[in-house]
Amino acid sequence: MTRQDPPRPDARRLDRRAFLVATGFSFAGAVGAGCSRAPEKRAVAPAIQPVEYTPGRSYRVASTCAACSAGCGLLVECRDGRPVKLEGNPGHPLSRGGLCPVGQASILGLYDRQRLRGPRIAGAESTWKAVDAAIGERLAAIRANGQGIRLLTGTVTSPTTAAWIRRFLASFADARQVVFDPGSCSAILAAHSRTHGARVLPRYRFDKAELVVGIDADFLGTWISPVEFTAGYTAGRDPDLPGARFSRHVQFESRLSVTGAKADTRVIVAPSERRGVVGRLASRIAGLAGVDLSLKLPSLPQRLAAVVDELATQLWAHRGASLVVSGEEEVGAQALGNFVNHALGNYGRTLDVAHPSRQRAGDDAAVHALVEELTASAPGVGALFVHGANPVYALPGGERLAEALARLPLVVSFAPRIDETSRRAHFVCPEPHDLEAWGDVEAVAGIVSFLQPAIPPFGDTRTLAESLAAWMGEPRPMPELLPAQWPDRAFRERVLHDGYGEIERAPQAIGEFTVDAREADAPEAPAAGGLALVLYSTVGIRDEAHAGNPWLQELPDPITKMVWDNYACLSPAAAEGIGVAQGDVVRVEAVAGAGGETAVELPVLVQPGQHDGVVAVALGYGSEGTRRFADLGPEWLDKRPTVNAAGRVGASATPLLEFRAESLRRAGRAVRVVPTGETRELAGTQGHQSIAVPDGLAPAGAERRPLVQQTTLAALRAPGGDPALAAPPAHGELWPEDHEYPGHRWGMVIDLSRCTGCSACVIACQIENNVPVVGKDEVRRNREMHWLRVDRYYDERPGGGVDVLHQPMMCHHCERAPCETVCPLLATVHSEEGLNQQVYNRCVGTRYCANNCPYKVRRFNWFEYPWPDPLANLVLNPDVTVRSRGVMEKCSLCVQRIQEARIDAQARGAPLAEGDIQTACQQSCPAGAIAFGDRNDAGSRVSRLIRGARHYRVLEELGVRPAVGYLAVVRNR
Amino acid sequence: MTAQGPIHRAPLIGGRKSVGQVTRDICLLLEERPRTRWWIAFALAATALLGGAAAVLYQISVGIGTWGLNNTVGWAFDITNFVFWIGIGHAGTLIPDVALPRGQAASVSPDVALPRGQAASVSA
Repeated sequence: MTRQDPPRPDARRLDRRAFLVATGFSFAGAVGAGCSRAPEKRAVAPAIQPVEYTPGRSYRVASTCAACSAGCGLLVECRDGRPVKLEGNPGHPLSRGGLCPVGQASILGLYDRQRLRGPRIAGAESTWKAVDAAIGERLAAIRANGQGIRLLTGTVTSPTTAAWIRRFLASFADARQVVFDPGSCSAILAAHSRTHGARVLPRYRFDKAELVVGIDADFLGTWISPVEFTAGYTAGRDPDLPGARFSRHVQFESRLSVTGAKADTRVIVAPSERRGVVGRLASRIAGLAGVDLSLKLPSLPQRLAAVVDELATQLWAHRGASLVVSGEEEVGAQALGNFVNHALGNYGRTLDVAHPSRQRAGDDAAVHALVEELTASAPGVGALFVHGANPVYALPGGERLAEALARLPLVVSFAPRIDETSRRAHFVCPEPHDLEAWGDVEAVAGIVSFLQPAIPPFGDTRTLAESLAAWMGEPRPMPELLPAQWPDRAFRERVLHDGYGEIERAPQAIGEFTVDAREADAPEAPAAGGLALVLYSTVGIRDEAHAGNPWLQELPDPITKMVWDNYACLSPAAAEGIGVAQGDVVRVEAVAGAGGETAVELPVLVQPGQHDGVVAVALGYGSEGTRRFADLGPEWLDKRPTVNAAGRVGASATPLLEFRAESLRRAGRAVRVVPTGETRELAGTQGHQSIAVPDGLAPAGAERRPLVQQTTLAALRAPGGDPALAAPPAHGELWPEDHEYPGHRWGMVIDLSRCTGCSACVIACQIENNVPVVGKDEVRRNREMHWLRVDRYYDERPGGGVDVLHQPMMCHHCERAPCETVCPLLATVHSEEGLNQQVYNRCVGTRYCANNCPYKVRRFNWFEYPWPDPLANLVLNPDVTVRSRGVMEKCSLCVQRIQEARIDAQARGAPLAEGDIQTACQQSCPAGAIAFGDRNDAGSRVSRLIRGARHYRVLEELGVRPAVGYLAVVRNR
Repeated sequence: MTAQGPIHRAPLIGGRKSVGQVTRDICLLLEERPRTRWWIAFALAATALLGGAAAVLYQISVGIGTWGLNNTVGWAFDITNFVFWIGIGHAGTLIPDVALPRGQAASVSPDVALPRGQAASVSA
């Protein structure tokens, strides 16, 4: 450089003039910016902030799940004044921390646009004042002329509501409450009123039973209180505690349920044989107990008779520590089941009738009488109130009932939505969602929990108790009604804080045990010339009330792995006999019965493990509430609708239900299955991410990979353990040891022996991680987005039958992750805590990683999956990015929860402790099958489980070193 | 250019045409007004091009899911298409490569036959 640069003023020096200019500009700018209003989009945050609330922080409100009448404890996770996730309350004495998929998904109902915001008169929006005046006038007229009042409800577990129902009905001359449950246990209640002199449902204590016998009772899936039963059942089956008891489970069933899948011995029986099984069991037990039952020994096939006789001696050996449960709808058979439990001394131990369950109160005989009364030519009923039930949909002959409703002078519905029944009501008085209402629940006598609002009500709705109080001339809001029922303020506050409370209840008065065995003598005629129909509830939909929930519709059934449809399940032999294959549409026609000729057209699903004489069909489908899914899914040229030609999801099987001898029969009706020649493709997920080579395609001599391992209790407890559980030899090492994990090293262990396949984890993951719903067509095309799937494996048993094994499968967070090495953008990287992290904004969608993943757990956004409804989007978790099109995503081991716990720990000034972090799937698991923790901490639960004999890793021989491990299934055989 | 060496063949241009006539014959195709057949061919080609452009536009605006891929078959169309073009490219280099050692370079592309060293360097 030869030329000298001119001297420049020092830019860092600020003279007085420049300072004033800068200050003036800043001030003017700040004033200008402050005066202009930011564009107001949609207001989200509530105007009144909850007490002790920090913006952006989650907080939990203890409440009670009202998705069904089981009454599980809830912790409502709220964010910015709105609930975003439902979790189980770990302290709750019934549910013990778990929550079923239906309960978790019920949060979406809160943000449902179709939920009514106010009362309606004749379909038109109205006000409570007008409704109360009109109904009050008509009630006064009914009181004056002595007409009948009928209140049709689902099971009411709220003492406050029950008290108001009693008061309301008592003010009429002829008033009656009729309780209807879609999955009713009417026969159990009726049988107890015969044998025990009290119409009670026992509280079943699976945790205290050493030998559990189930007869078509899907108690781990749908029966009465599956979360409570799953918690109890798995608590009694822990193979890792040395010397601890491990209950034995024998299941008799006609279709394959999740409960049967867990059984140590599963016996396939026809519905017509169930009574024979109970009868023979009762007869044998009577013989052992020295009681003269004067019961003819029912004839059973040799195979069954031998099993039952052996079971009787085992039950006798486990007197007082066994439990026989039956889902039979016939009262006589249930009474014999009561005798078995009574003779074994199980009452008071594994069955509690002194403090009975109130989770099912449905009375089928009363429902039948009500239907007859309403459909009579001149009904003497002046008013019908319908709460928590949709009889026009859920009862056989709903059409007749609908016509009858039109003739009634007053029909009032309390339904939160317009459904088949509330459409025909003169008045709809919608109830609020259970997350915006006060309430109380006493699901089991003495165990009380409250519903408390987690958000101000969206509309102007009233609970049933509030409406009844208003019509009794005492209009009071629920917060004033509750103290009348629970006067002890300290108790109320404790229940609100803990989410539950226990009170002393006088034991239920029980009469002398009596059983008249002859009533169960007549064996049920097997379905002549056809198949026996079994109608069942699915784990996902449960009943029609939840059919409008897209999360539940897209939840693969634990056994069939099908979504968005119901179908006629036939065993392979039965399908072959009829000449149909999977996907062929058949007509299921009732041969005869009270309902006359009724038929439902359904596609066939071939289901191993089912009785050859049975066709099983799921209830709860085909309701009006599923019409909303007509446009679901990404829009593109080749899109096919999620709904069928009738505009609904699935077909309703309720016409095939029949009232027979006091109960609504779900099983045993004789039907014909006639092929129609059409086919309809089912959308299922099993096989989409197949990581096992089918036997037919495997090269000769190929190994069968031990993806899911099973052992027996005897083999496990033998000295040296089960040699079959040894890890396969690893292939050669390719990569250097370049991960150090100086701090934590996260890992997960899933106990397959506890896992029932209930899929609560799948829904928990979907809600926590904002996983989109893609619709039936996209699932059919193998593009489902669930980060966590539950794989179902069949293992053929010698002598026929199948063992079913479930395996939750998600990103394994491999130490030597095949996905990381192939990503050209480093969009998936390994953290120093052992997480395989996906960086969404680096990902350009090459899909190299998904192609290279041995576990097939990566999910690609093939489209911009729609989140069209701003109201429904309030349920999105603000901690997790909503992924856009063209991005790969997968399980993050709930990294947002890890970060939240870490920040909390830092604020506390303490290191992260075991149990501070719970992944969403782990939290919701009713069976406690999932453990998450620090593998660097030798004392953590995860580390202990990894050292255990049952621990193995899937595809361990690949040398990818996954951070997720499994514990082999243990069967007590 | 005439073939010399072991292969003898008929001259490529018959009829005693001068170089100027040959040039005119060739250029005529380019310089005269397109005829109907050309327009038909052009319309077909343009339709195919527009169709391709529309497909690309549709795919870009809707998503790669329009290719019918799925979670385990993540590359069906991309990899087939990729291999197709790679295949054409490989064919272009492979065929001279095979011909060269057999001494048949001239018979493959007589008008662009290059000296041996050059052909080898192109295909190498």
